[in-house]
Amino acid sequence: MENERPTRAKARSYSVSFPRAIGDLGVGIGLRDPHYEAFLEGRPRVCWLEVHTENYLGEGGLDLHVLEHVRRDYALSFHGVGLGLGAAVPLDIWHLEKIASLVARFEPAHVSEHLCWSAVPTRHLNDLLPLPFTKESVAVVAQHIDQLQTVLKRVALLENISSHLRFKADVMTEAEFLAEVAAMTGCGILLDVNNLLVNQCNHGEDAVTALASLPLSAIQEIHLGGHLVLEDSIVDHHGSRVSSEVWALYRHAIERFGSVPTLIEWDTDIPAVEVLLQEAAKAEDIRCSHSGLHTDDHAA
Amino acid sequence: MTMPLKDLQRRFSDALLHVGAEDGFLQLVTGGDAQRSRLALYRGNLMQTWHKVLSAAYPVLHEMVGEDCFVALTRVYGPTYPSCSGDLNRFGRHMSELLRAWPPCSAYPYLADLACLEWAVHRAYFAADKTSLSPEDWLQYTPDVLEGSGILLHPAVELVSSRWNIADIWYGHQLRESTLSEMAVARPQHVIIGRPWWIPIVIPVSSAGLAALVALRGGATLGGAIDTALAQDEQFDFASNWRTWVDHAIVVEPIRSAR
Repeated sequence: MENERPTRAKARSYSVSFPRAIGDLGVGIGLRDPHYEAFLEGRPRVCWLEVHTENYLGEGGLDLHVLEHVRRDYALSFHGVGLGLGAAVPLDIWHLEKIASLVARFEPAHVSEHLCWSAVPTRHLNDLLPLPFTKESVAVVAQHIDQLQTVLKRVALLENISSHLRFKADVMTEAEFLAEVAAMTGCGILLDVNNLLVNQCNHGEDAVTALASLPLSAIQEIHLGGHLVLEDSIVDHHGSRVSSEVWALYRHAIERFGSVPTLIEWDTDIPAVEVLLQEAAKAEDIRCSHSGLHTDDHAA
Repeated sequence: MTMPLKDLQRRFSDALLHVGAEDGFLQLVTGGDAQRSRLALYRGNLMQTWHKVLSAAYPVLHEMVGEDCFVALTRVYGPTYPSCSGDLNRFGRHMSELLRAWPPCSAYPYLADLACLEWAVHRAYFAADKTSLSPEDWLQYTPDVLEGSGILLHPAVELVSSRWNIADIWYGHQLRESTLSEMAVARPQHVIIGRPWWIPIVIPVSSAGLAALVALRGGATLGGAIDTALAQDEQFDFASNWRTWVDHAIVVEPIRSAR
């Protein structure tokens, strides 16, 4: 497959000097509304919290109140699921400005989006749809992430997705695509290890090779979650514990990229916070065994 | 030659919405026709999203019509009124419009008004925060001052009128499930939706009480709003309505500059 690396001229055409998050956040969990009570009434022992940005686009109300409350004690990561950076239509300015307003208000440690598209001119499909990995797609995603970073005045992270389909038009792998966009725009990469495994099963793409294709310095956050095995495909449903294969791949990732901040994602059949904390502790053990740190060094 | 991205995405979108369009799209996909079941997973996601989001906005409607009918409703709604935003909380505002026109619901005309009420509750949940004066704080203003002032309504306040008893139906469903027609009566009801804390509340009021709030929202002074209510109903009980507005944070504070 073609794997043209970006030239300096290309890199200079984008804004690449935005500030990055500083320091290692440790291991976080996703904050979902079934956990609101636990976080309003107590302070579960976790380093940081990830939220889906689109759950907080309202003008006010309970969700933003809870976010204000937890922000006092936890660092946040805003994970977007609705901007659709790979769509061949202009980004929704209302949506962009809402994200910018939230980022200014809550100062999250990370802001991320998915490497996907979600809209055509006549409708939003509200899903993380796969892109063809072509030069045109690289240009579209690079332009949109540059627009996002310019509005936010900071680095955004771009996450690899799981997919059920690949396109005949592909001229590079997803990892090569991410590396190219990161080099062109200065964006970071959010590495979803579970998605690598899902794509390995769905498309026969070797996950370890994908890890080796990603640039060391760009990986700023890692996601771990459960997946569901169907008859002819695997779905990253985030509805179970992290599988042993994903833990093994995570060890590879930590060996290659170091102790990157890591998230335990759980979005379906959401269990009690304690279950997520158990998964987070496993991730922290793996990070610490690599770095030589003690688990408590990163505890909240 | 590679197909332009916008054309590929259009064909992908068409294939999700129309089974008849999937053959052409599958020719663009690695594995071709063999990937039909995988394409169906994306179509399933789209329909599940419509169902999940509309059910969250219209829980009473969902319960009243039952799961099978609601699924059918969402599969008409999604293609007819496309989502226009990555913010799914904005998806669903045309439900009452669809219910008025959808033949399977023609025997249940109150459902469209019930959907108006539920959408108002949904909007109230995400409306801006605003701290209202407490009952004690309001006492610092003399009746003369208040009568000459406009009154700011809470940003979450929604005002809904129906010729059906939609508030009774809505309250009935907070207590227990009921079925179509079980509770509906052709009796006009007027409703204020407020959000004193985080969860919206539904308050039935008289037609005159609602008219007073509509007038206040339109910029009238409190005196002018009372006149509007009295013009509708000579027996309009302002004191009792005012107590409701203050106790449930429907009114926020006086606006001195009102005409």
